Amino acid sequence: MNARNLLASLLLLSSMARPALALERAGDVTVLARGPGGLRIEGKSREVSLAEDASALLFKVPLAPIDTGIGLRNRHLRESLEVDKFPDATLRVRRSDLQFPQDRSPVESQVTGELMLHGHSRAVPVHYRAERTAGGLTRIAGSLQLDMRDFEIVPPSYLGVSVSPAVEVDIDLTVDGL
Amino acid sequence: MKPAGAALLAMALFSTAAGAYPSMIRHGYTQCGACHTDPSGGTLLTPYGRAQSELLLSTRWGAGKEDEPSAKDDFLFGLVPTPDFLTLGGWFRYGYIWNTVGGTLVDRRLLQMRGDVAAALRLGPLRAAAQLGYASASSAPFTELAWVTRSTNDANLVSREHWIGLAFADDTGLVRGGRIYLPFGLRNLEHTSFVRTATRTDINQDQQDGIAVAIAKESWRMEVMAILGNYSLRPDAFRERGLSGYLEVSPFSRLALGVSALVTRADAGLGSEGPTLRQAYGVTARASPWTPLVLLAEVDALITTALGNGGASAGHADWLQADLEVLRGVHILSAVEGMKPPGGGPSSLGFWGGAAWFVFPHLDVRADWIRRSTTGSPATGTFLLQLNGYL
Repeated sequence: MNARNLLASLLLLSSMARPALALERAGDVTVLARGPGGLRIEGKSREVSLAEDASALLFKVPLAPIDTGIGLRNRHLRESLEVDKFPDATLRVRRSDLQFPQDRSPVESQVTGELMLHGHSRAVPVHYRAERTAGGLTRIAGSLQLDMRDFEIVPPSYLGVSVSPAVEVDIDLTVDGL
Repeated sequence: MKPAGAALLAMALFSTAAGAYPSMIRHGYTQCGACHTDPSGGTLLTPYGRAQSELLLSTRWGAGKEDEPSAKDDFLFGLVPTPDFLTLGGWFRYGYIWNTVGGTLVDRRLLQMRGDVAAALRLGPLRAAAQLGYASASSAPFTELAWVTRSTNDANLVSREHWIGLAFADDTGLVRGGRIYLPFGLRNLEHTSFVRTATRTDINQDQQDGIAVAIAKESWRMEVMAILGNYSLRPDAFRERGLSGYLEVSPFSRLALGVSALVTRADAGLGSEGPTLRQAYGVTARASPWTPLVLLAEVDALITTALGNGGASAGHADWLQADLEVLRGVHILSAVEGMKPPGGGPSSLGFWGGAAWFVFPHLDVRADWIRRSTTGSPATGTFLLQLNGYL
């Protein structure tokens, strides 16, 4: 193999070995938990990424940056999720299960994804809406509900106020292409 | 108006009471029950509420954002541990007031404004709370609606609230009976604002005896109360009976919109000699478009009907307040208010300006300057310095 062919082969191999292609332009994640007496605890982060490979889309949310508006509550959240050991939550959705939007034809549907959180993986239903926007971008809004106990997370409790184990997660993401 | 009368009136009008912070909506707290033993707020703090007092309200004096609250924030600085089922607290408040009428200083004095202790029980679904306090003889005109003892010349015991109830629906609901803060409007701590005095729903002494049901959900809350009368008030003819309630919805975590209604009947209405029907209908708004800024608004329609002769008269009371937290724990407060009382009395306009500093969870200081003008009367001015202590 001459040098030219070797270089071409290396480039091809490096392209094939790339695990996923990052797509995101901007995103928001909102985590909503509830407590007694109508208490609403909202955590927000702008750190969400989407990567894709041949068979699936992989959404990843780093957990440490989630901000609930109170520093100590953030710390309790990180401790509850053991962020040092499990820094990210990931959601894997098979491409074959998804409907993709076309120009002026948004899609809205439900799919089952595989959520990895706190070192445990569970299948969760995900509601999503996707639409093409100007400039070839795609906007994805997805939501899911989870039960902390399914992921071996002890629902936080602080000074007599316990958080309900049911949590809602909303993701709003704008990506290139799809 | 005689200077002494004006001074007494001003003293009644311009005192405030720590304990109610509808401005906590800036932190996304649209509900009250997590921090207060009263589901509609304004009363004894729960342990969680004490923690938020340090984490969100007070200057933190170098403590890190993620540090736990100090054990000194607990009841009596943590010297008296309390079991989980019991919550204890108390308030003391002193002030110094200067009053002017038509630009002339007519009164200045030290005020003993509050000295109450409080306890709340939480046993299974059982809930109970009570306050007991001391009211000096000079404060009689402004505390007598909450008197337990009835000395006309000396100090009295007062109890602003005492009730027992049952929680239901996973603590989102509470039914209770006893002396209860009236569910109406903003539970703002400026209990001398026109909206509180005109509707007689202040948190100082306007509580009534009755039965109330409160429900607090994630995006709405309500409380309705069957008013059976204020049994600190005698004779019975003066006691008002009827209904009071509010419904507030929160379409966003930093916006709450509410409606309130109050309808009561008394055989002898205050200020009249015959049976009187008193109605108030209000709309309220709490909004925090930017975390340091909270806007609070209330507009109330007032209708008073002298029963028997068909005479009904209408008026209104209004309040718009801005609360700007310029530094952690330091608030600049300003408000404009208006009132036209039912019965054809002159209209009044008021302006409030001031500052509050939550020095640490057991102590805050506040300064208020208030100017009020009433058609046909000289303008009144008040400067009030307060020291609020919380046990």
